[in-house]
Amino acid sequence: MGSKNKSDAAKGPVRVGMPSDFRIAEVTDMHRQLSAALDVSEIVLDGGAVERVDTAALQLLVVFQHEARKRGNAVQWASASAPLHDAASQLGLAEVLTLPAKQPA
Amino acid sequence: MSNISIAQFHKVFFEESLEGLDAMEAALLALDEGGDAELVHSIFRAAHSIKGGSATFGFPDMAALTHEAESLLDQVRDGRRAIDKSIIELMLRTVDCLRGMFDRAQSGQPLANGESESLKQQLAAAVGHAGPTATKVAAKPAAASGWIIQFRPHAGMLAGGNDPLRLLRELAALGQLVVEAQLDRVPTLDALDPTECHLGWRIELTGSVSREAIAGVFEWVEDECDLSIEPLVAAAPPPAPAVEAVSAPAGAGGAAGTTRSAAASSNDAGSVRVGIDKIDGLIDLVGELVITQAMLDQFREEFDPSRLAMLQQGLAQLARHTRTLQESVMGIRMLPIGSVFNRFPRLVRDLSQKLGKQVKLELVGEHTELDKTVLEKIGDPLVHLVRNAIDHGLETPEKRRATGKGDIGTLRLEAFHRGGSIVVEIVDDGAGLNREAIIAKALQKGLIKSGEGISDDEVGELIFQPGFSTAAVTTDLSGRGVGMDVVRRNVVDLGGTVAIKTRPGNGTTFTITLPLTLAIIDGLRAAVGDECYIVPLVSIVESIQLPAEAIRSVTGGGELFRFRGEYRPIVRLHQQFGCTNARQNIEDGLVIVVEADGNQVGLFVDELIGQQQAVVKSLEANYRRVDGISGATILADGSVALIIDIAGLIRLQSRRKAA
Repeated sequence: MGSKNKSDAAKGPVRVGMPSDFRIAEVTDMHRQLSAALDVSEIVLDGGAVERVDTAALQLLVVFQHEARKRGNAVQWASASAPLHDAASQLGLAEVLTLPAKQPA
Repeated sequence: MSNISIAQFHKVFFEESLEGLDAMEAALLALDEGGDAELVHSIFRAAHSIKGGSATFGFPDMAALTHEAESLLDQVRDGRRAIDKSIIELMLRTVDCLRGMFDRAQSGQPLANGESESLKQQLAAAVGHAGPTATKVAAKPAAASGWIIQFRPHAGMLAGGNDPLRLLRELAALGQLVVEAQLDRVPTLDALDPTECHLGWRIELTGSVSREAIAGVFEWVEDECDLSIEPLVAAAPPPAPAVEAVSAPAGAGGAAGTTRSAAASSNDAGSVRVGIDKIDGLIDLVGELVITQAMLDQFREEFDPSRLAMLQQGLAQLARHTRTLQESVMGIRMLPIGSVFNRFPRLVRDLSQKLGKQVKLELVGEHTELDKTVLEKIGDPLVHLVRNAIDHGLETPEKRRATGKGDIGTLRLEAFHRGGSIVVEIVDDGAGLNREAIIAKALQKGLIKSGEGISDDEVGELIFQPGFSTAAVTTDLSGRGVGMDVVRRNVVDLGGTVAIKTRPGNGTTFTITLPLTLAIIDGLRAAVGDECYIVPLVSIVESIQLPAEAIRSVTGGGELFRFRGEYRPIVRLHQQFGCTNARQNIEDGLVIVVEADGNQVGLFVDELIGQQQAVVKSLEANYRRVDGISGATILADGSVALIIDIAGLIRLQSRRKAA
């Protein structure tokens, strides 16, 4: 998936892409990718491809954002799909996740 | 899910929960005596079902209390905490408190009270999360325009396939949501197991939604989360009447109980749960009946005198099936006496602790079945007798040692069939009746003129006299002077008898004899002058014709006859009941030897007409109580026959003799 190798990432912002089915089955893998991404000071999250998402995935993102803020990493969103937006607001997590403005459908 | 549709399940929920509480109590008591881990599981299961049910049916106070109990049990179950006396005591009190809550729920009162709240806190303290819990429920002002839902999934909920996102979407379909995620328990990224849930939510749901609707959303995850649903108190405008009507249970938790239990109590005719085997038996019998009826139908169509024998056979079959069917239908009302016995282990435990006595309770014959009505009414007399046995009968360990008995007293409750009756015996191996104290008291009360020549059994009879109590100190357990006479009256009201046998120094036995059913008796129809009486078959020993010289007259007007080597009194029914045109000479009529309470008498009647099943009609309900008569029945020709109460008649006879 969209994440770059750690050694390359040291040079520029690392981009972490999310799978289209971003649910509990994927979170362990994503957990690893996101943890690795924290080695880089600038991180770009891409949730544009996400079609299905669940609480486990959003919780992972929340914990990641907390961690990044604590460590002083800069996290930005490249894009966030409508399903991601909807789910985050439903769970009251949209603000914590600092999601970008909703994309036109 | 409307209120009406759910209210109809309340009765079943109450019944099942009360059974669950009984099971919990029994298991707790067994645990107290050193039981195994399986008992903890069964207690947990019972608590868990009650919690689930009470949440589903809108009794949040009950759910909150059981939730705490369940948490504590969970710790025990997981081995995080050893079971000890204090936990058992706490759990037993919870069982009592929940019983009280069910009582209040059925009569439509608020469920929570000071006791339940303090118990909840004690449980919470024991669990280790005392203080403000999420499940705090208190009476709130009635106006509510929505709900505040505290929802905290357990860690394993996500892995179990339940997604809070889906639940919140379902909630959003019910009304306007304001969701506030609680991130206080979120770990660091390194420590995170991403498949575990660490989030919680506080959700405000505005709209006219019933608590049930919300509980329904969480129905499948209630074991996997901490959940509280509390009414949102409207700050500004009061809700529209329509909203009020729909969200009626939105008031206090107690008000929710009121609405539904009012409906529940309106049809409190009671119900019986019947085993499927009994129902199947009935269906079989009805099938047989239909076949026999078809067979008889054939005779009607093509009647031929040569087939008379077959017709008779068919009719006999019909009679047989009808009788079996009747017995089976009666059997539906029969329940094992175990349901009454079950309350005693707890009672005995509490009493013996309070009195510093050691008591071993033996229950025998719990499976003996009894009519439901009888069963419901026999509880109180039994409780009274058991209390008496422990309070007055059994001695303290010191006294027992002094008389050469073991420290532990034995109290045995035994139920069994004897003839057409159920016998319940309460046997203790205590001190027996205090003959001197009873005679002194009887003399003081003027019940007897002198204590000379009174047998032990007659002494026993004295304690059944109204207002008789020998307890030197009136305790709250027994000995309030409203004792044994009430017990006897209750049992007699059920058509039963109580007898007492005492062995000084070796204990006392109370024997309660109860009819199997109150509705139908087998009787022998006897003619006395112009009247007809039914003598219950169970009491009849023999019917004999006596020559005039077999009768001995005794001073005082009584008559005796010799039967199986002993003299028995004769009761001339026509004299007793004032019948006209009856036969006067003994040799012209018949003597029916009957027995009750261990006494035999001969009833003198004109003749026997035949055996008959009598559907008992209460005399009290239609006329008034008459001594010596237990009821009436309607004969095939439409006339009324009175049913003789043998025990009552014998008592009447001995009273007359004594007078």
